[in-house]
Amino acid sequence: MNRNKNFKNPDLHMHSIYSDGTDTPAALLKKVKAAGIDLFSLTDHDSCDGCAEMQKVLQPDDPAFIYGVEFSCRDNKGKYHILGYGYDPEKSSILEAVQITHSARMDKAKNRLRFLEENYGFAFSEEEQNEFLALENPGKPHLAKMMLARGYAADKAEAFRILGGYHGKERYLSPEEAIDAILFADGIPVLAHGILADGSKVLTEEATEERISRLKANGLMGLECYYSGFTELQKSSMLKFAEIYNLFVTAGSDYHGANKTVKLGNTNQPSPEVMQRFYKALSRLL
Amino acid sequence: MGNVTITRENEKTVIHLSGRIDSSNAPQVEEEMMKAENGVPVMIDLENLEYLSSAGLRVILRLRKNHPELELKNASTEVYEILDMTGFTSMMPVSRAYRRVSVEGCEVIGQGANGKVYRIDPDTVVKVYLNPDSLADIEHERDVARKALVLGIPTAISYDVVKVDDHYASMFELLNAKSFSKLLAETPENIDEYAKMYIDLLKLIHSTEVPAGQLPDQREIAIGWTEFLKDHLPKEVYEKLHKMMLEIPHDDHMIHGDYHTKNIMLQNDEVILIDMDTLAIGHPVLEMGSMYNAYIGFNMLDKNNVLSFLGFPYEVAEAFWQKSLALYYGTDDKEVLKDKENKAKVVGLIRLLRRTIRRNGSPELIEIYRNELCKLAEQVDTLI
Repeated sequence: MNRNKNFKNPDLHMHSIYSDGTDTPAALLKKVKAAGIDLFSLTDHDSCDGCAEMQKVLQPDDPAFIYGVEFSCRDNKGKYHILGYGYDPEKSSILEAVQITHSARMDKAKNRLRFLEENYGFAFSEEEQNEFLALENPGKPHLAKMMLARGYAADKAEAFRILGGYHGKERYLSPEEAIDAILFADGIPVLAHGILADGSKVLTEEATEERISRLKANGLMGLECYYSGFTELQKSSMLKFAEIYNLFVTAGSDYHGANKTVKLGNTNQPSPEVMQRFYKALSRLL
Repeated sequence: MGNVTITRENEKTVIHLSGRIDSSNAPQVEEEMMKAENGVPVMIDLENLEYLSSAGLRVILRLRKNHPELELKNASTEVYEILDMTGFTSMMPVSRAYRRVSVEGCEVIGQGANGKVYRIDPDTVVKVYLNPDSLADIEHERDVARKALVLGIPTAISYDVVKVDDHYASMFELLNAKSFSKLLAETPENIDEYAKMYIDLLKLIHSTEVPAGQLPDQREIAIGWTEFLKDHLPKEVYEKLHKMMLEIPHDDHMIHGDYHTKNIMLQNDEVILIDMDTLAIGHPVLEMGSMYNAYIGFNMLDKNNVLSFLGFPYEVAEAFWQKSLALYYGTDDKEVLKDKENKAKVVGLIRLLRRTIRRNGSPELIEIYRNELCKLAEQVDTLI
């Protein structure tokens, strides 16, 4: 990373076909350039493979890119998404964390198929099932599409509602384990959309603060305070926590291609002054 | 060579880290560090550490799980920046390494009660503290300097603490500044102008009210000096001096405490204070006492003292003191001024007699001070 580089239009949170996005890394890069983004990270769920591919297609004049990942984590207090930036993808800790979260996802994918069949009698052909399980990160959006294609649900919302009924017992990575794995590999751990937990609910300020203070003691370095899905109030709560807990601030859209409506580069107006410290961290740590 | 050495200092385990620590060597570093015995306080010395990555930070976090009181010291600017940026400085005590500065061959431009001030380049001066264990003094001086500045007193505030040999030192930015000692030595013909600037600043200081509890009370200190002399003066002399000292009313205005020409600088057209460690509150006569000493009292036995201490001849010192008195009290009336000088002299000589006795100073000097005080006790009835 260049020292003391200031970026004007960062987007540090997006997904490709290596998880539940719809763009290939090459297609994503094109869109990143078209959106005028000057610093970006590909943060697929529980996978670093998209980053490796992105690295291959990047040209010297392209926007600044940092390796990213978004680990799906869980403990007895609920679900968390932990972003990791700038890690060394060859390090054992990252490979293990990806392995755990990935197999949790794969087990969950299989269990979800079984859940749909046992509870709703929704059957899929072996071909459909294999195609689904061959995906890098088979998630709810894929399954929802399959349900719609077969007419098992009237629309996406209904499909998601049905899928939401599944509560699995797969081995999960705790947020502390994810942070530790990222640090071990020289990366920067950041809590994604903190107040929204894993994106599926809204936590109270107290619960959010409890998470932040606990994870900070375990090495969390930053909070995604500029996030497409935040209200102004949520954004200012998160910024306040970043200040109180002396954490730096990142910005991300959580773009998923055609699977979600959020636009690439929509990061909720990050303040360049506030982002400064993260840029400095990139220049010093990576 | 490894990146970790462990030593034991005063019931504390000190882990010295060196070189660069990142994911390539962090696991070995962790293994070494975990040898630190549980239950013994641990300090990590970062003096020779050049860089640490996230993996290095992680090792520190893991050590902290076993040693919640973990402290980090001697972080270089680069390492401190990383610790600060990543929020580690708010999780555990981290102290920085002090930059080393040399004053070899530098001009001495000032001298205060507890240190010497050197100019190290045209814009920068450094005050080297005499006491090697002076970090608390430095903090005190920075603190009172900030308070004085807030209250409107022009003063230089140090922007960094460094080390000069084994001594701590404060760095100040002082552009084109000259001490009043130097000005008087170079252009004594401007004495009237200098005395006016000198007294204008003194009046500003004395008109500044200090919120309760922020600065020590000089009256109490001076009463202490007087009481020290109980067995060193004739009974009636002591009792009179003590009574007069007790009669000085409490005053919550600022006094400098060491207001002589070496501690006052002219920077461009502004008069500023550089030595702030003696700031106190109190009645102006307590200030006048210390001023009397700087120009007259210290030189009673040997008038050449003033040349080596303030840098100009005794005649200049005497003239400057008289002009200062006249300006401060706003009169040319010789009798009034003599009376004011005598009051200052009482306060000044009480301090000097105590100081000389305590330091086993020259018996001749002790005798001079004692005789002067006995004479003064007959002439002076009040210090206010």
